[in-house]
Amino acid sequence: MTTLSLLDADSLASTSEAAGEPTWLVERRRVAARRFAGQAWPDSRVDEFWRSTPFDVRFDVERSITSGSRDAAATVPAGALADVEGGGVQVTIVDGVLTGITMHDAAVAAGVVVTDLATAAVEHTALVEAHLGRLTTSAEVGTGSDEDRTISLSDAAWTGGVFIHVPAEVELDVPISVHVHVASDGAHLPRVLAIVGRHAKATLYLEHTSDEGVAALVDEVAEIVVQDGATLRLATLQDWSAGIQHLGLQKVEVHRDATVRSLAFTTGGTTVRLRPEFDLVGAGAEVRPLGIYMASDGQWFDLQPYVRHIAPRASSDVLFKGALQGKSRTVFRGNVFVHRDAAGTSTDENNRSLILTEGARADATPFLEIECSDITAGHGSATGQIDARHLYYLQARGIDRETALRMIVVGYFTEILEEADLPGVTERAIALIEDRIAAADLTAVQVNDLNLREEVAV
Amino acid sequence: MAFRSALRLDELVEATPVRVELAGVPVCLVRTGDRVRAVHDVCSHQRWSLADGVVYGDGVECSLHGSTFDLDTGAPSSLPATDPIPTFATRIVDGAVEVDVDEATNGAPTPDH
Repeated sequence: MTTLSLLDADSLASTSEAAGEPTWLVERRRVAARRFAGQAWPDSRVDEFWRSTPFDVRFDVERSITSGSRDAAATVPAGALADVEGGGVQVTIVDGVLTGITMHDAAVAAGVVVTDLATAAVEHTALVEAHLGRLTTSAEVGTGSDEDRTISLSDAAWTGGVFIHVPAEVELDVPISVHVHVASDGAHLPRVLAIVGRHAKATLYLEHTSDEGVAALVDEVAEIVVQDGATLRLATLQDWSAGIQHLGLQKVEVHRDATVRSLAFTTGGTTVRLRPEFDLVGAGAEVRPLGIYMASDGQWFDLQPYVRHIAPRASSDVLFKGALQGKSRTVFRGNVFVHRDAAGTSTDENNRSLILTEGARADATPFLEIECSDITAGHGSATGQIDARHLYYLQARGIDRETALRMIVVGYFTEILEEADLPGVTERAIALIEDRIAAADLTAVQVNDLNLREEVAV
Repeated sequence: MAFRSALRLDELVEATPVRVELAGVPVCLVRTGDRVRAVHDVCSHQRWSLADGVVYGDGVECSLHGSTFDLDTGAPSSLPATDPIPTFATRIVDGAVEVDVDEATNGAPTPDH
């Protein structure tokens, strides 16, 4: 098996052909592989978006692509749907292979399609050929992501793909969950293509887990098209074990009067670089990208939500909140771009980081790039410690310090969880937050008593 | 504790930083008269080569965001950097500049990015 750096177009194409993929797909992989060959891995000296995270230090590309689990019966932990009454549609991808799809009666009755992406390339050719790679390939109006070699890699060599189509007018109440599980070392390249039709409603979860002790690189790309008037609730839930390096791109194209509310929950893995991106291409589109991150000793999260206002009168409101402890590092590099034709844009972008213990570092760059004057825009970030007044208030009511600290941290994230309101995901997120706090050394938590001192002094 | 040969003194131009790698450690060398000082070449704020910057008096300014690091103490004079960079012992032996990168003389941690 060759490592990622040595991928070549001909062998990829022949693998693709041997797997029975249609000619157009073989050709696309070949073109992407050529693009890949002509690119270098990201370099923080050259690439503005990689400036905060040294690729060569945090990501190991000397790995070969996984093709199926060594352990065919690898057990996949229960996902968010376990907490959803009535369940939902469950897709499982283990070690680069789609291992199972459990449909739901409501989805079948409504004509919802959930299938292996390679199968869909043959059976739903029109949709897949029209959309696969469309959002990752450079377009005239700044929507391409293929300037980055990690994306070309997915375009060329993805394995374990899933195709989801919620037809027009269908309101699917049950969630569709794509659960990516990593049980073997190597490079994992999961791929998702989801199309939510005109005036349809859908809920999509991307869940990520791995076995303890696995060392892997996960390069994941999801392309999601939300057509006119549709509504999508999207969640990325990520609970990697240590040893996982994760590159994630979620490219969401939002059309006229469509609404997207998304939650990116990041807590596991060694290094996670997540790009939740929203291209607002239709007038009146609306997105609410939410994020929660909890970093512990040794972890490095680079979170880069990117909203592009291409069409007029669209609105966006980004809010990412995190808590850090130990020697951890988080980067929030938000970006909101407003095209010169996007008059009437309304946008806001905010980041909050709570430093729990000494040694953690949170970088924040809530960026705006505005070409149009007829808009309203806001951006901001704040990084700080727990306010001693909050702790004092709780302790004065007989709550012990540790319990009070737990309540403050959970409460800090509740604002986002309540708004995201995603069945199953909310429960899982709270459990993960509590799990991280339980593992933390609460005696080391430092609070900021500046305000408390001022009030006591009066 | 081991001094490693970096460059010849006459290869260094007054107040012009130069990057060398010694035992895998990137080092920024600055000559002032017949004296040469050495600091870690990576800014403590982000990964950027300090040798790309400009020397002002006893400091080298990072060309990315302008934090200036003292060549003797490694301490930054202004934001965005807040942590010092490692400083290294130097000596000149028969016109050769030697640096000991095994230990930071100011005890500063190696930038982890």
